[in-house]
Amino acid sequence: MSYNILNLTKIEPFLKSGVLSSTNTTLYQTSVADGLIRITDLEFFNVTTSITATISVKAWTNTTSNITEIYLDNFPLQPGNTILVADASCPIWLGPHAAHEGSAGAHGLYITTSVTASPSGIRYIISGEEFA
Amino acid sequence: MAVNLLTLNAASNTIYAWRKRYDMTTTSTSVITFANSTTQIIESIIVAWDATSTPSASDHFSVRLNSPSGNRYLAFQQKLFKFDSVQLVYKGAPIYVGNGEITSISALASSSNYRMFINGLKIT
Repeated sequence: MSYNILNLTKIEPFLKSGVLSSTNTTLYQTSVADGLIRITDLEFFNVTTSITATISVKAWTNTTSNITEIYLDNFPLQPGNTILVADASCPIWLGPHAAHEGSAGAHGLYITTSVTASPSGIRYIISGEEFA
Repeated sequence: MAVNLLTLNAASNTIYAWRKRYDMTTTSTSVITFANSTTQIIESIIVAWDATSTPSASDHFSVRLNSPSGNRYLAFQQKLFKFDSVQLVYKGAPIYVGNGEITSISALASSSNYRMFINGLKIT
């Protein structure tokens, strides 16, 4: 499915922050089965100099193990860096969407991250709007 | 003519969000093509360095808007830079596409470590 934005009945802002766990961390999960979100801030920070790791950001459907989109695939965590994935001038759409020009659309429902080494206190912040 | 945004209605129009990830290559490649009849808003173009290795001083990329009236560069021979600690290296401003003025976006990089993310809205 995909959303005709002209038919939306809900726009809910959200903001969530926390610490990455040593396994997958769900950054945000939409409140409906086929959510559409527009991320206006997504950052990872507090990467210490002792960490050599990569991070992945994936949009999933709520079907078990059904990955529909990999946004960042093993993106390197450079010590001391903040990884800025999206901000207000650079928004990212995730979730059900129409094909662009003939390519198949992906259906993302919630956003998870994973790291290849112990995250040791890496923090994240994500904010945006959820549409339905 | 580009669509009049004030006349859009759910009964006869659609606005769909889309996104695209592209792994840039050393060969200039058309990443997206646009049909003349559609109006699109490119909300963001993000280019990032995706490797544990440090980019060399000569690494660069370019993003080109292809137009029948003359190609234009969003970023031409842009060096990869890291201001402070931000790893995202380039952010393109919103662009309106319609009426065949921009037919495609091409990208070229000195290294296959560059990633390009494009987000937009398609209005019909």
